[in-house]
Amino acid sequence: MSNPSMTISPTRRWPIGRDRLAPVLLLLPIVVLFTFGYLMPLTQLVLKSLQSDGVWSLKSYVEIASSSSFFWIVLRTLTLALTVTIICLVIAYPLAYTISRCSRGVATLLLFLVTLPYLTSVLIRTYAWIVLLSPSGPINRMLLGLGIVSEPLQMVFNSVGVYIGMVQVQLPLMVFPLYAALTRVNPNLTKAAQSLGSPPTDAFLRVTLPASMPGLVSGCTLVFLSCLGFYITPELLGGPDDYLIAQGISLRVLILGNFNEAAAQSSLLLLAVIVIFLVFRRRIAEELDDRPRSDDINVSSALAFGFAVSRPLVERISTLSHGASLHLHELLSSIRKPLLYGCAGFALLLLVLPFAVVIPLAFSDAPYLTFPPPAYSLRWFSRLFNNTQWLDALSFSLRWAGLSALLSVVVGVPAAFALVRHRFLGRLPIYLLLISPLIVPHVVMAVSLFFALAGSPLIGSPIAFALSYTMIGAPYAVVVMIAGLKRFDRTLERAASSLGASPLTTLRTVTLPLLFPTLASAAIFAFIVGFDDVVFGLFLSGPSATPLPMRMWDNIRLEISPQIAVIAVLFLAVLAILYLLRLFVGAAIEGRRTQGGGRT
Amino acid sequence: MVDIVRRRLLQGTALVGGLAATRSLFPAPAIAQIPKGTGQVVVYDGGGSWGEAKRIAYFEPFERETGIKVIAQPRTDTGAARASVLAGAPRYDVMILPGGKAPTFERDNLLVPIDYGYFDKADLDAFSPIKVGKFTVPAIVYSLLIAYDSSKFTSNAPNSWADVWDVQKFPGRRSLMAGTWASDGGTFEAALLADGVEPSKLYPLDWDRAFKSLARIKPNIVKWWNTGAEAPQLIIDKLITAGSAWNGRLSAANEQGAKIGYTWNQGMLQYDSWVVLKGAKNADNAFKFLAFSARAESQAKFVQHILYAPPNSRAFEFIPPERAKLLPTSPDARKQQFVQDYEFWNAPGAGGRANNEIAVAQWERWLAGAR
Repeated sequence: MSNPSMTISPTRRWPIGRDRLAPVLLLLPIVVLFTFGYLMPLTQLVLKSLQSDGVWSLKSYVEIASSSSFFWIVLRTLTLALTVTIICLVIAYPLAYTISRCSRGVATLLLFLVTLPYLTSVLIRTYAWIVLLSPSGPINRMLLGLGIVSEPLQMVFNSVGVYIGMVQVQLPLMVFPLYAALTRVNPNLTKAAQSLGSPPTDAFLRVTLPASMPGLVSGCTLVFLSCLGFYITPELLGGPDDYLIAQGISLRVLILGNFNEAAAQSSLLLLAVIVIFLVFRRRIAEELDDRPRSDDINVSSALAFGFAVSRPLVERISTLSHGASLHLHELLSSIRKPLLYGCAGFALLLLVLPFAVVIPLAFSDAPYLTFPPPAYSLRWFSRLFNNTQWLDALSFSLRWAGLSALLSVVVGVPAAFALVRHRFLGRLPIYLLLISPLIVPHVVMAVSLFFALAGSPLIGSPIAFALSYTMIGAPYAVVVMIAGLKRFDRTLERAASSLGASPLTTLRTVTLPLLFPTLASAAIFAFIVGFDDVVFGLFLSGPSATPLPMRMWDNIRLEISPQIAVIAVLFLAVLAILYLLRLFVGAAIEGRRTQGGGRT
Repeated sequence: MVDIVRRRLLQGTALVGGLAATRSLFPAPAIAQIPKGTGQVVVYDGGGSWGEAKRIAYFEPFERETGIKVIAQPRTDTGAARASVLAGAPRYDVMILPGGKAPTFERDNLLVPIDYGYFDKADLDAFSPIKVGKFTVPAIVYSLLIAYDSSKFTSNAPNSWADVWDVQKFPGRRSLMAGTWASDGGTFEAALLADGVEPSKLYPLDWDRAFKSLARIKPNIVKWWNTGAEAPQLIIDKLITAGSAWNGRLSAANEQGAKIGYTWNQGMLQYDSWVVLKGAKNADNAFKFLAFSARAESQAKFVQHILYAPPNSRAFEFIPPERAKLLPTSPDARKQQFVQDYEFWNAPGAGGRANNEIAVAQWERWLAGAR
């Protein structure tokens, strides 16, 4: 942390004099890191795509344009991303709505259930789907047993598998922003609307839906963008036709060694993502919004937005529902609650189902993969602990993802302070830059780093991993910290300084202890993002750097054994411990102060 | 899973093993000692039963004899290996390349000439029919076969690629290797054979005819497989009833209790080579390792664990006849198969690109629906 003491400029809203320097100093570390580890490699990638045999040329682009296959692959990728986004929205909305109407305790639990899959490796979840959806898997067996189908349904290694797998992976990304928007809607407004004679469906259409629009837009944008670069799920669950952009790019790098064309395709994908990202930048940068977060004001602003955009639609829908007979309204209101809970329950089931498979599987006694296991034992655990390759990979991942988590917090936290507590030129662009690795496909980032590091001893070294894990971890640290800081009650700091505490003392004794749970969350997120990574591993691993997910990736592709389930269980255990620790520390701090730190 | 196999194998081959052990207790003076060394050597693993066989037959004994540590690295696809060499940090010291891909590595100057100084002359001369090259030491000879679920097809089983294509006669779904692997997977050859082309008239491959044939089977394909272990796994998991697979993986799965049938008929003989990548940090250790793995005794031990044929013909002296019979190079198996034409795959076709590259471009276009 460069000089956090400078952030404590108690009441001033606009920095003057010496304070103008503060945001610069706070942002310097992360900006330097991003310049070298992210911006420069991406620029190099684009430049590389414009070269052929060492001279400037558009040959790679001409090649792409001359063959129609790239166009069709792009179209297929866009269709998939759009469909997944829509399905996610439909499934996530009832869940987010239900959670937002729950009591705080229940909401915390439900949010945990949504977060859990988000934090669990995509590889592990994809693996669980292979088990769940296979013709002899539990779902097919249940359907056969109930007599719903007579032949096992083909759900894996085709588009169905890809859709189910991707929706499950992306669902949390949709739930979070929706939930955030929906909690800001004051339920009294809906009640007011209803008490004034508006039927519940109408109140929903006129009040709740428009108010949740910002969350809806940002959720859809996030899901859509991150679908574009998806690699693992389609590769493992897909069938003969599921061939997407990311696969085309990695084919060019990993198998063909056609690096210029890979660079060109990556550049085009990057360009598409940046354009969409910029179009929706206001929605994505919602977290930076300065307006005070009082419910009423926010609802009105959200309402204003919602009506401005979708008034005709809402009008039409509500006239339609007004025009319908009263019976329909009665019918709707009587099944509204069960329907809502049913949908929310389905979404939750979808989220946690993989764990229901993975946990028993880890204790399987069978030498091969079969579910449910015929008998239970610890044989797969002992196999793991007797295999030095797995253990080396595990310790590598723990070490370097851990270091990157620390680095992410060290550079991310000051940046969050600067963004929340200071107003300066270029605040929005810098924020967008810092969170963009959440959206830029990892395949593109990994390919760019691969080229940038080529020729240096860094490739295949742990340092390359520390760098790339920090690059994908730091945005999480920034986002989590911004959320925490915004909820932070600054009167406590002011009280401390008015009692004569120096800024440094205030930071040490008030600000940081209060923010500890947020810091912990930031570190956990950053750690897990690195720990889960497959894509960087595919490109950057080497003799002295083989992370755990690479071993898992190999294992899943070579033989589908219960081994991965064991790792999943160990991972869940660690996660549970971390989570409990965080809860415990959070509770301790809340106990000490009436005003808690950030709940994330 | 593998432990069981090993145990069963050890029981099964106790007698033979005992014989081999008495031999190895008194090593024939002909075996040149490989001088002890220090440090390590990074070797391509290959994974699954193949990686396991290498570990038992080559990696561990080599470590014991020379004191050089073997770092077994997971498989990487050829493009990434190529890039790592270009980047000056090769991912392996010793890698295995499919015979269809090694020539392009040679052409692009990515390999180190092999120093045969540590090799035993008797072993070196015994490489047959594929000789050692300036840059390549043959590693295994194997076969891409028609494999099927033998619990499904008991009396009447698929015996030709045309049978595999015939889902009326042999119901169930199929899997072939992804065409992105070009020569590696034999998918294009299989498609042409299924369409009635004579094995002797396969090359040069007729791309249009191959894709037309592939279009007929595609609706029944579950997925295109990417790694050798995947194909038998798909049969074990009952996801397919027939498809293509490499013989060693099939017999390894069967030794673990799987029930996969296969036929040598219309099988395709292929081979892989060991290479030392340019810029290898442990080149000297790599040559020692290659000398060790070229020994007849080492290769015989390897064959006990996976049925890939040894390129060193002297190895057969140490392989029990009933096991040798199961190898793809046994006289009986040999006459039913054809040899893949690596020359064709590396020859430049339309646009000056090698047929290997042309195949991938067309495959992608075909999958995208644009062919």
